[in-house]
Amino acid sequence: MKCSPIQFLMSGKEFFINRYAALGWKYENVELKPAIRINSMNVKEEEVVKRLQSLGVELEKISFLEKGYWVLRSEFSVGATTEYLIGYYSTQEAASQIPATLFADLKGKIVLDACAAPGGKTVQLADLMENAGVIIALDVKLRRLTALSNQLERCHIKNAIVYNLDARQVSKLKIKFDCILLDVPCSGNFATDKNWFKQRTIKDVEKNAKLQKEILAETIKVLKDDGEIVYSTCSLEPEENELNIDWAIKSLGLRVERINCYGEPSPTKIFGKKLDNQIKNCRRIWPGKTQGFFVCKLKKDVSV
Amino acid sequence: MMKVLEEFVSRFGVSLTLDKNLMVKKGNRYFLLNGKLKRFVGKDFFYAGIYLGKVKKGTFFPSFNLLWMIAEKNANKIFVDTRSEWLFICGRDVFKQ
Ligand SMILES: C[S@@+](CC[C@H](N)C(=O)[O-])C[C@H]1O[C@@H](n2cnc3c(N)ncnc32)[C@H](O)[C@@H]1O
Repeated sequence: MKCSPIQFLMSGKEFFINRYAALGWKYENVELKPAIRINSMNVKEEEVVKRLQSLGVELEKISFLEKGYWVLRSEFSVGATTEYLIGYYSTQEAASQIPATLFADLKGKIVLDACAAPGGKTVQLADLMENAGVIIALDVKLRRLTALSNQLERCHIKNAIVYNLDARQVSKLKIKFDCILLDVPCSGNFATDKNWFKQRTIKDVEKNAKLQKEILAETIKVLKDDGEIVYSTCSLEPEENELNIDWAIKSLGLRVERINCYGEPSPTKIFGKKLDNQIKNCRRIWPGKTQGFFVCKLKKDVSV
Repeated sequence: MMKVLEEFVSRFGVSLTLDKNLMVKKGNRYFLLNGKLKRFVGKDFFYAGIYLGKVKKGTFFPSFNLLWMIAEKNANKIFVDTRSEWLFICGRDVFKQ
């Protein structure tokens, strides 16, 4: 597809790394370490670590996660062991293990995983819920639901119902949720996709940002008044992150809760635009130890 | 809908009490819900609760979860070594190999 001259100027590696510099981060290439997360509803953590070590897999506990390990060395794919196939652990990038852990309390709750496939976080939610309560998991792409279902079966998940549904139509289900995970479709980042700079333009970013706003606006309708939303992307682009959340504060009456997790506070001034001060409660993770990531927790501002 | 499952389970010499009211079928796939999921499930679901297996050309293909449930009931089991365990997981015939 041909780009217009303006689009051409607003794409490419230099364009994006200049934006990152304007946000205070100097671009560097990164080599990501694979990571796993123990499904503690299925096995004791020590047992699976011991079993993997006996197979020659070298693991290191991830300091900022409760159940995550870096895979430092393995002669084979850690997704091809008996332990994996019977659901003792999942392969899950370290930063993406953060969002599900930010809900105050998931036990016995009614939870929506609005953009769920291929299901890494659905399984993690079920694990944190000890396989009780209810998870409603949606994805708009039917093909991706097979991968999601396979994950659920592999990990012995009992508390999930999956629908092939656009999150922008979730109110059709007529369910009110205590917790909503919005791990929204996004533009991704260069750390997990070596062709990222060649393939992405600001147009894609804007298109995703619009879809993300629509998903936010719809899902707030099905959130209980005292419910929580965790919003995350693996995009580094502020349009999909801080700018969207600033819009949600102003247009949807949401407030940003303080969270305590890996990452740095988001800037409250972006490309010259002053954002709501609550934006500093969001966490931005620049690629390094992990991929690039953004996460925040939102609640309805009942004082509005 | 229960018959095909009951027949399959009975081959292992165990009886598994699956509550008919909590079982749902989607296409050729069978699922077992609990009381809470039952209240929330809509007719257009894609997957729900515990997947039990599917029927293809008249044959029932159990899920791993159903096999776990049967094994927990102390059904006739055999113990295999790690090589055979892997062959089984990969869908090969453990006895032939
Ligand atoms: C970042 S991925 C989700 C990853 C997933 N949460 C996990 O941890 O495995 C985003 C997902 O959103 C889905 N998606 C895109 N548009 C959607 C929409 N309008 N409604 C629901 N899901 C959507 C995509 O198909 C994709 O599977």
